[in-house]
Amino acid sequence: KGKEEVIQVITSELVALKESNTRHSKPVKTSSTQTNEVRVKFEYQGERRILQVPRPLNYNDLLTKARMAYGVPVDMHYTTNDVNSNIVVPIKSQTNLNQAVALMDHNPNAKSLRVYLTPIQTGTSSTALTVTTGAPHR
Amino acid sequence: SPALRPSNSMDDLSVTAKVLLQEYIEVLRSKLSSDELQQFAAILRDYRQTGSIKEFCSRLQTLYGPERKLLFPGMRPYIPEKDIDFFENTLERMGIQDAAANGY
Repeated sequence: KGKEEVIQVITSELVALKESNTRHSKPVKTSSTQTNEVRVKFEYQGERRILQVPRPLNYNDLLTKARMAYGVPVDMHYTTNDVNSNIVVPIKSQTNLNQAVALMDHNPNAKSLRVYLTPIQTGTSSTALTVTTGAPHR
Repeated sequence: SPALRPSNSMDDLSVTAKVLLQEYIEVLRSKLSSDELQQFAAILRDYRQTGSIKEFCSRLQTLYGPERKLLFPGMRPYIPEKDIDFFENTLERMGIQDAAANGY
């Protein structure tokens, strides 16, 4: 039956796209230090969104983008890819954000600014650097 | 080039990915005619071969039309990382708000 064959083709194409996506996403390395844009990876409750943001990054703009992306008020944290000691640093100001961008720029393995988002916490002053073990997501 | 050949099985996908794929296929089956499914297959193949996200989005917009634009977000898990910005922007321009909610 023709329709089922087409469905099969579509399934195969989607699987192929998915596979090429996971296989190619790592080797394709574009150094963020060489561009005037920063690739920002938001993650909120396991859900990721990626956007290109022109330099210099503005704290309020980025916070607005994060809040609009997920539709909830969120706090931003800078995280690294290092699986052994996963560092989570709260981004509470333009200075924090500048530091996060600088850290990313100095890390040759970082191709994006990973921003881990949490529901907004009122009344706590969590400006201290916190170090946790294990991935912040899932 | 490597890794660009269609696979005939879904064995390599995670359970979540399989469920998402099956759901999307069922949605497509219910919303598109046989002829449209054929066009969709051709659009997918061209995108996989040429890698032109711009052409892909524009052809899909034509195929779906405004009344079926909500078929777009289901495509999100299959868009390569390099193209995801363009894809998201296209969704935004079409006024599809909950693109992120359907991501995973």
